[in-house]
Amino acid sequence: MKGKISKFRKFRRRHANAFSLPETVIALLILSIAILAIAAVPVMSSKMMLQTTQRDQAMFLALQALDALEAQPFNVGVNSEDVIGAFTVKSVKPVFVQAQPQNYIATATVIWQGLAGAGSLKLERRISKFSSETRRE
Amino acid sequence: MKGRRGAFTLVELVVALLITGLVMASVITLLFSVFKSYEVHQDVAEAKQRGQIALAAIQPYVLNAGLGLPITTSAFQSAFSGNVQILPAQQSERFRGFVELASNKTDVVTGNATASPALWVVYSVPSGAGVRREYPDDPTTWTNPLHVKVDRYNVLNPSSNLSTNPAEMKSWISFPSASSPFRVLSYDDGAETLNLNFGARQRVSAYDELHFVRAAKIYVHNNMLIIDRLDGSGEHAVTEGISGLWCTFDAAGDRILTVRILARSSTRRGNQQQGDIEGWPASASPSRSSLDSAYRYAVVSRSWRIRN
Repeated sequence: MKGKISKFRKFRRRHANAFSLPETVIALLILSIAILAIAAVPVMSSKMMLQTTQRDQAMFLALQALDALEAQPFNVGVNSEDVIGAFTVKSVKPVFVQAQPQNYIATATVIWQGLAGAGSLKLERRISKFSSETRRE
Repeated sequence: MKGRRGAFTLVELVVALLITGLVMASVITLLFSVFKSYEVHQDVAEAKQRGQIALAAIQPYVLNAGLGLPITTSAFQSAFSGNVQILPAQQSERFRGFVELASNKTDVVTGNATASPALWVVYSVPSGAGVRREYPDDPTTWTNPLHVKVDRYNVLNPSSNLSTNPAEMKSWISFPSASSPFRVLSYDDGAETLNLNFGARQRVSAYDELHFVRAAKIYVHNNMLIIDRLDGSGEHAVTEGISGLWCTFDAAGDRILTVRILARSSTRRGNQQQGDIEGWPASASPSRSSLDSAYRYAVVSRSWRIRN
């Protein structure tokens, strides 16, 4: 027993203070993974900022499209597609049917191909038969 | 062996220092880019907030635009008699409607060319006072002027809110149920009545609220959004850090007013490398190349359909 311990101590005295090459490599690997994760933070946040800006733009275009659809007379059906920069705006409005007023819904769909991947946004607005009208002279 | 136990050799130390240096360098570079991106985000958020403030300031004018006022150009131009500020004698300089854009157009008020695009709005402000019954009494006679008994006359405060001088905007009022403005000829505090001149034959519904007709010019000057109310109260700087205002309006079509605000961050930074500004049209003024590149810019847009 005593001999075993002293052998172990001898071993420790010779090797304990140094790292072996595999240990060092593994440690560096773990460290580099951690650093890479930190490196991804600014990249990711820029990407997200861009996404937010594009979604903002898409929201604006969709609301504008809905307003334009609302301005159309009730007896006109709309199914059109506009390309505005990187955005494709699809506007759909059915013809008003007296028996089914609940189906009179305008839809604006915006699709875009951004740096941060494709995005899409769909907005609906229930409109009334007379919402296109403004005051008459 | 025993004496050397705790010491490093020079080679070990140099190698260790080298590795530490490399790791530290990359960590510091990373930290720097993290801080840089934080700065960028801060700037963008700031710019967008300013844009939102500007839009919020414009909104009430837009929502009340044209309330009780004529829609078509000819009706609008003939509705205001006298030399009102918004309708000078020169036909070519007159407002064509209650929303008027002046990008590269003559300033209709002063007759001078505008330095930057401006948005003019003729709008109606609720007064709090109204009428209890329908006017005119007898729709077959259309007697001009119209004598109107005003309910809650005390909130009207005619001496400060109204004028009988036809050249002033204050001499004009409107009713949402009517389609053309009325000019105040005189008012009687004792009888609580107004003497109104109407340009077009129209009916005012019972319990309709009296509105003051006002006009405002909204424009950007020296990186400030300025609202100039043409009622003598002067210019009001709404928010700073606004570099551009770009509007479109289709008066004859769907009547959608689109307002784009180009806002910038508050801090000047040495090396901003912002490319195109998302949402700012290439044809808009000021152009991208004419902007101070030490700031970061963001565009905030909003559209309204003028339903009045």
